[in-house]
Amino acid sequence: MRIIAVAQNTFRESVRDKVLYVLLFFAASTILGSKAIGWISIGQDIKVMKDICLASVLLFGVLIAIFVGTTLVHKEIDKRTLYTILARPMRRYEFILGKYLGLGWLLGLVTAVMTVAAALYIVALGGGVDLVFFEAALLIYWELLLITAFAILMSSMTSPILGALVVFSIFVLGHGTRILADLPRQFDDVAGKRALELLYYVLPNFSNFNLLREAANSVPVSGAYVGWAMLYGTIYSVFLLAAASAAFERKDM
Amino acid sequence: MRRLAAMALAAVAAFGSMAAIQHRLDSMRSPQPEDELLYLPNEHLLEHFTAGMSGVIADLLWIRCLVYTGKHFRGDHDFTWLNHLCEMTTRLDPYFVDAHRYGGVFLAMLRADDDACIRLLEKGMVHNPDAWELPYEIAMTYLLNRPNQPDSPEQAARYLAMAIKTGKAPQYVLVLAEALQRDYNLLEVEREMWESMRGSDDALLRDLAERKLILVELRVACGNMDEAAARYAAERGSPPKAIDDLAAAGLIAALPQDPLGGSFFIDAERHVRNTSVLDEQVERARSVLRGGIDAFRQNHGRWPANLEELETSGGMDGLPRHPYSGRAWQYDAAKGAVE
Amino acid sequence: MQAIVTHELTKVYAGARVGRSLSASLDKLDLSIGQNEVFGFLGRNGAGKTTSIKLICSLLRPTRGDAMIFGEDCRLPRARRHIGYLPENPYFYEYLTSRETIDFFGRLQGLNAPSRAKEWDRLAELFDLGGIRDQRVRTFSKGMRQRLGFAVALVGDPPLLILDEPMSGLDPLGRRLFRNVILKLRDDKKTIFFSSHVLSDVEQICDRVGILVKGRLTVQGRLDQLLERQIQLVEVILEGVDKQMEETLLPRCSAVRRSEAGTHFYVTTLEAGNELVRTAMEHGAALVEFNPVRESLEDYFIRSQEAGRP
Repeated sequence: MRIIAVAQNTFRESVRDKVLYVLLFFAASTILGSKAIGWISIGQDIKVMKDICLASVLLFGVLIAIFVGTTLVHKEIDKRTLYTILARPMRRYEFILGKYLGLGWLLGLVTAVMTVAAALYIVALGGGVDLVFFEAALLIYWELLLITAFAILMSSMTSPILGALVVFSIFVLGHGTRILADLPRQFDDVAGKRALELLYYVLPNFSNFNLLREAANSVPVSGAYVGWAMLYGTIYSVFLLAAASAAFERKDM
Repeated sequence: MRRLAAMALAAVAAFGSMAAIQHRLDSMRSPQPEDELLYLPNEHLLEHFTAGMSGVIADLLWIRCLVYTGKHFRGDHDFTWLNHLCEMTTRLDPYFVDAHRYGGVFLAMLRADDDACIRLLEKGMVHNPDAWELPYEIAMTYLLNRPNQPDSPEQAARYLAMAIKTGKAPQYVLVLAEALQRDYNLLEVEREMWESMRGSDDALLRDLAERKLILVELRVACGNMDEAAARYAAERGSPPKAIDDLAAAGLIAALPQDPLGGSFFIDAERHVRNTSVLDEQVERARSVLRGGIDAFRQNHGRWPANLEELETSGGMDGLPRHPYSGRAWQYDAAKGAVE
Repeated sequence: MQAIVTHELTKVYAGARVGRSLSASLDKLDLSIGQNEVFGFLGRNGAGKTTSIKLICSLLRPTRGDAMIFGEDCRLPRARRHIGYLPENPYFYEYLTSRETIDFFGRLQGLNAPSRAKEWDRLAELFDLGGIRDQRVRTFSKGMRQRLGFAVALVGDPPLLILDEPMSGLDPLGRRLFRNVILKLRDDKKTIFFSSHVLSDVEQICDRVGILVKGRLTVQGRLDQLLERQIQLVEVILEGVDKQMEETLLPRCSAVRRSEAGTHFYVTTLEAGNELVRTAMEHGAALVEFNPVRESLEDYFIRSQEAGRP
């Protein structure tokens, strides 16, 4: 009950944040403008539009998750709105969880709206939208949830700017972790390679959630794959939230 | 109201002067050489650090590739970077069937690099087993680029079978496969292929197909006139000296026109030739030579001293003949350029 | 059972500069607040009042010691259900209205919708919030925020109110409102613990006070007991005193003066004052005023600061 109250409050607060609308405006422009880039290709315009639309959902989703997420907890500490709340019989982790759910809910709404709008736009322009397109959008959302977990962890520990930089770097690097597993043969010396492989499993691997190319080229993806990817994301997110709660628990207000 | 007018005037003045300055700046800057524009970091890295948007980057690269192809197709026919662009695009998006397909077509038809073409298409087939277009194009490449290879028809048939097995191949592929089984007429194969491309929505592909179809017709015309010349020689006892002789003897209905602006002539070996067709063959042969020269430079660190060195060094088996009988290749060892 | 009991509650902030000895922000606080008491917690800025309050509300972790709220350790969430807390300069979510704010905190207390509606009615009346019911907090003045803050602290009707500088920034009407509310809460058997450095407020409503000097509690006790020992003078104003009576009474007094009210006699003890009145009235004078001038809390406070200085 308390968690839901905080979640609803967070949702309302984020919805009124102007940054959200600026980002949505740019996302909408990009989606609408994707047709223009498609024109230049030799008949691949639908493929290009799907690429650009899904990439927009991902990129703008990430920006929203980072901008809103890293300020979420920090702002409350800074502005001391937290004092009255924490003096209630509320456990600290309940507050973190409430914040996370509120932002997750907002992102779900944004992702769903952008995906449906993009799909309608593509269909209106003569293309077809199949299941894999929506599977890709679902996994994009799951990726956003994981990034939000990172953002909230940073928010409970450090300033918004530093937090935003860290989470954005994690986002970029997290998409490239396969490079640690795909090392060329000259790295076959055991110790170093093992360490890098370990790193591969520890760092978040966001490319697990990347079905954008399959979606744009209408390559089907099994439901089992989607399920496993979602499980991976859930476990990692839960871990991060636990860490954020622990960090927050010990924090002096 | 006055404030608005003043602001509008200020805006016009500011942007007008900036546009003029921009123009000046652009002319002051030397145009960037293409090599630098095309330089891209290690493909491996690019693939991993595009943060999940490699599909979009692939699209942008593909568009770049199309622009590059179009520009050189209408210009100097130098397609040095084509392979690199296609490789990068398909690496970033292995499911991008069209990039594999048309990349392969351009490589084979414009750069005369059938090895690169087939490699690209086979790579595409690994990730896209359901794409009929890819084995189809490999089959075409065998038939059109390697007509003299003894097992070409066999290979072509094999690949066409793969295309048909996907279950998605259109009718004419089946027709072609059957024709191959019987006995194939290379010209027919080629004509079919370009006809199908002529129906494309895109201007570049249409232009390419139109041009190729014209060349096919010109070759057919040359073939017909060759037959007429043989009849002439059989009737008169000596071969004709010029095309007009054939017309005068009533063996051909009229002097054929060349829409591309070339002309027909009889060469030293008494064959009817057409300059447009020969010019195209010159371009293709030149691409092959350029490929060999570039490869030589990669391996030996310098331009070859002469074209024969390409052969003697083991880089190429046999140099392409100059299509115009009696003419030879002009090679500039200082620049590694061949005319 | 005591409402609040702290035992050697200490807070030393980490990160003191290297080379300087770590001085405690709060040093071994031993407080005891009984139920239905109004306790005033005094100290200069930086003495440690807010730190103590935050420790009791579990916003800070103590370096040493503990605090019990109605017998339960303050760090347990269930102990905090007894507390209604008003921080100094309270902040709320700017985009919510007063009604929504009360509603939100009601939900945090676990109240259902009808209870929350009732709470709003009760608190709106108590703090005159009806006029700003649907106004967003963003537009509020300082006084409005204070009122809303106090109302929020009362959501759920907690038995213990902890108020950090509740009157700060209020105009006289606001202060009177708050004073009346506190007195009403006392009548309703609530316990009120508040910190302030506005001594007149404390004097008017507190039963007991504590004075914090540089993180240490120097004094704790009933107001009247603390100050009683310090009666400085008694002022007796008599009417109808003629010159002769004045001269008779003069030896017993330390000073005399005249004003429109009458003749002011100043003696040093209550007994002397009483004696003076009896004598004067025997001689036909009338008593206008009898003012024992005790040491004011302000005098006492300043004296205690000087005493506490190392």
